[in-house]
Amino acid sequence: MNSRPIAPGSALERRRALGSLLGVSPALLAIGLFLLVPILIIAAYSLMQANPYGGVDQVFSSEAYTSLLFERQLDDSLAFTDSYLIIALRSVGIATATTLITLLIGFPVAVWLAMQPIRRRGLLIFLITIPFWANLLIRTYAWILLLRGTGVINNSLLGLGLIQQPLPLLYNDGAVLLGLVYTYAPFVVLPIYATLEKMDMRLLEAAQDLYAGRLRTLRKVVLPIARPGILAGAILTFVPCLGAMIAPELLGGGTKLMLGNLIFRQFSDARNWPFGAALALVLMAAVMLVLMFYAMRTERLRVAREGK
Amino acid sequence: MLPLFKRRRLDIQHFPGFGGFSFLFYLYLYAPILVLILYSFNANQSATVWTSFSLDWYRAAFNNQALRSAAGNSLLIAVCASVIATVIATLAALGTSRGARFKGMRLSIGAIMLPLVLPEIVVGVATLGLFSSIGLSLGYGNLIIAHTVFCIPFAYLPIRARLEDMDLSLEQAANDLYAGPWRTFTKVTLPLLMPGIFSGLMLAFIVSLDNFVISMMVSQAGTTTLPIFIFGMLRMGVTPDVNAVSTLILAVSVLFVSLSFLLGKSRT
Amino acid sequence: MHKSITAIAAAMALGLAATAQADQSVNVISWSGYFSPQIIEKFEKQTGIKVSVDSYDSNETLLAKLKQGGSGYDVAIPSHQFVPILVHENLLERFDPAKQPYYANLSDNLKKPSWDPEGGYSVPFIWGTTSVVLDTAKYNGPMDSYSVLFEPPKELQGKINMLDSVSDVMDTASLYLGIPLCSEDPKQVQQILNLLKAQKPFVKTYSSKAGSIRENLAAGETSMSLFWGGSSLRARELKPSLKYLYPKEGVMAWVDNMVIPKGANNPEAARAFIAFMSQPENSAMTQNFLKHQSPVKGTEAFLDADLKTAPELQIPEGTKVVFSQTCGKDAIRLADRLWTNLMR
Repeated sequence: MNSRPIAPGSALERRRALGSLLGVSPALLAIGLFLLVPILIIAAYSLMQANPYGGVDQVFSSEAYTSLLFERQLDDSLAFTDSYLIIALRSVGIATATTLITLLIGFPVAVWLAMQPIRRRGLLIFLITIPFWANLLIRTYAWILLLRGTGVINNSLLGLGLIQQPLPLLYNDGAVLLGLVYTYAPFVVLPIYATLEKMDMRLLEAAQDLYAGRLRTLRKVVLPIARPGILAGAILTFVPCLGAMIAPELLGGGTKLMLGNLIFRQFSDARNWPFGAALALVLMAAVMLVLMFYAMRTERLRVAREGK
Repeated sequence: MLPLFKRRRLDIQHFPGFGGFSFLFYLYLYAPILVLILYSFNANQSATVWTSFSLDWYRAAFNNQALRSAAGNSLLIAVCASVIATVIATLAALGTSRGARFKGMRLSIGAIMLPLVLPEIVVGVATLGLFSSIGLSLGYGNLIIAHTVFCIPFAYLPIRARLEDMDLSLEQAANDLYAGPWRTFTKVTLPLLMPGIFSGLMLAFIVSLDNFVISMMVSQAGTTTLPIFIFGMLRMGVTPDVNAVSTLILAVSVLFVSLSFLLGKSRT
Repeated sequence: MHKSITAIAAAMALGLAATAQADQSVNVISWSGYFSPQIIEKFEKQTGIKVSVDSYDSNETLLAKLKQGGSGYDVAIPSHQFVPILVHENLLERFDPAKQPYYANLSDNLKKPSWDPEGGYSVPFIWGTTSVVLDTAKYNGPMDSYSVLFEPPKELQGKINMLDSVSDVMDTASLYLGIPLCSEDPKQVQQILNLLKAQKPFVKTYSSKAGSIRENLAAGETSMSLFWGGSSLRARELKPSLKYLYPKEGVMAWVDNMVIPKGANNPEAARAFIAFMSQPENSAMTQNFLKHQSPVKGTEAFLDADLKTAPELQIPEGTKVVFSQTCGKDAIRLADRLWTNLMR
């Protein structure tokens, strides 16, 4: 970007701005029409009264937002409740753990992929996505077959005489993490790989010549190049993970609510659309704030870097 | 040959263990898939007990018209939605990271991320509300539109990450050689972007193929997708013919890989 | 000239009518796997009407979809608690099945039931009970009461699955505690919550996914579950020591009904479909396939032998059978608060 400065306000500058705008416009059009409008509908729902038979009654009410933190008592007074906070914190905790583990696993794999001969890379990438052509539910059932007391893993270990009692592999937080990391692994590996793919091997060689250790090379050379990919992967993992429902239920036993189930319930069993809408909007706002904060920070970092 | 050799040498010298680690990673990815394939050939009703080899579930899957058409619908919608979303996302990635900035760029990036940050059930309910209020009833069209929208960020992020650190000097060199903008784009920019686009397309495809909640809400008569069908079985219990269909879909994907691999080879 | 044009037009109209006849179709939405391929084939052969079956995952989804207006479905299969809601929301076509000959042949307890007192909107398709199934190889003590589920003996602690559904769990707990269904009394709901909270440490999983409940019971991962009768029968086929209980407090019952959504494209075909499914021979086919209970009399002759004697389907004389109810707004709110509290 810095090789050819362009005078601000120049014709070229304006033409480029127009081109950029044209490029973004199909995306904005699609999302504006088919997502922004629905969000407005949702926002309207969140300010209405729940219809006990599903949907909403068109009467204004802020009940949905007050019930995020307060519970209505018998005498109609409000009392503080931390139920939803606990559920939210638990979900954030699980999503954070999943993201970190997935990054830790995905990064070395992406580096390894980027170092494979070009002709083999496409195949290897494809191999990563193939398991996900099978349905999530079916994959999760397969994990149950592997993990349970009489499952493949326990039976093999017992058969080999390595353990005397089957290990409790299923229905705990570990199993949930295992399932979530599995689900989101390609969403980390592929973006990181995409940034590393054209990594100049001479850089590594140069680093090696300078007698930088392996870890140092990894940290000082590879990591900075991979940073955009890591960020993309983290977003693609963390955010959908907040709404995950299948792994917590099937691998965790479903003994604790997560944000995903909680919001889903409002549109099903609980038949409280306004509350579900309010929950979703608060979640959306929180995630957007974090993303914006992150974007601003990286922007500032880049400006600082390029400014020198 | 020489650079290839060098790369391998570097690989070994610099990061020992990454290869082994990656092998374990692939094992992790394929462990449940192997179980799934194995049990699709099980003669027993149960997924627990292995009795004997049989093709019964494939026969059952083939005879189950609802299951067959659901699998077909899923593939059709995933192909359409992921391709459209990737085209849109590529344009958007180019627009948000090349050339001059325009006002509201950050806002645009935020908007592109929106489908990610809303829980699916909310998107589903709201999209259904929108479609029915404007009377949009296109059958497959409704599903393809909804899928395209939530696929966009999954395609956008890898492409954008790829663009971020791309060397611009090549493009400028091409420009300097008086290659037209279109030629520069197709001959230089696009090939450079390809790994990003490929990653984005793959992610969008599997996201679309696996989507249940939004599809459930938006689908109309005759457009039941495979995830909808499978979740609908929860009441009765998923039968092994679903394993058979999943295995067949995996086989299609493998076929697809081999084909593109062979095609790629014959071209070079 | 004029004549020939008319003739052509008439021929075309006839042709169109003929193709319309041939193209007659009925769009059914139900749980997946509710119709065997054989019964669909039989219907198509007999009537010439093509059937397309779509799936849904819950009554609530069906409600949301119908509420948002015509998705093009001709027949839907909601649970009985949802029939009054759909009627109230004006989402169902009234087709007065009670006047049809097949209606007279329904089981007496399902004719003009509380959820459709005039028999104007719904015809039962399949029904069954919800109770406790447990592994007698693990525990063989007293099991005549729900106390075995809610206050489990040592052998079953940590081996329990509860359905992941507020209504099923609350209904059964209400039966056990002698509390009316859909209670709107916070004190009673608190009583239920206390019971469920005390039970929770012994519960391994909360899940309503029939397949995994069955497999877990068969593999010994769990040894007791709140479950549906027909599904328990399938589980017993995998593990003979499983027993389905009829506790003294009674059992809950559910009915899935065929209805015609308002704005159906082809109500005529829908009616033909419903009448066809209600014939004893066809209903027996459905029962053989789903292994729940048929609402139609006279299916015995066509039933598989194991179904005729299955204890899961033969409700002992004198058992109290309670159909779950459509709860009001306050009851739903209380139930939701209970669930959030239990699962937080």
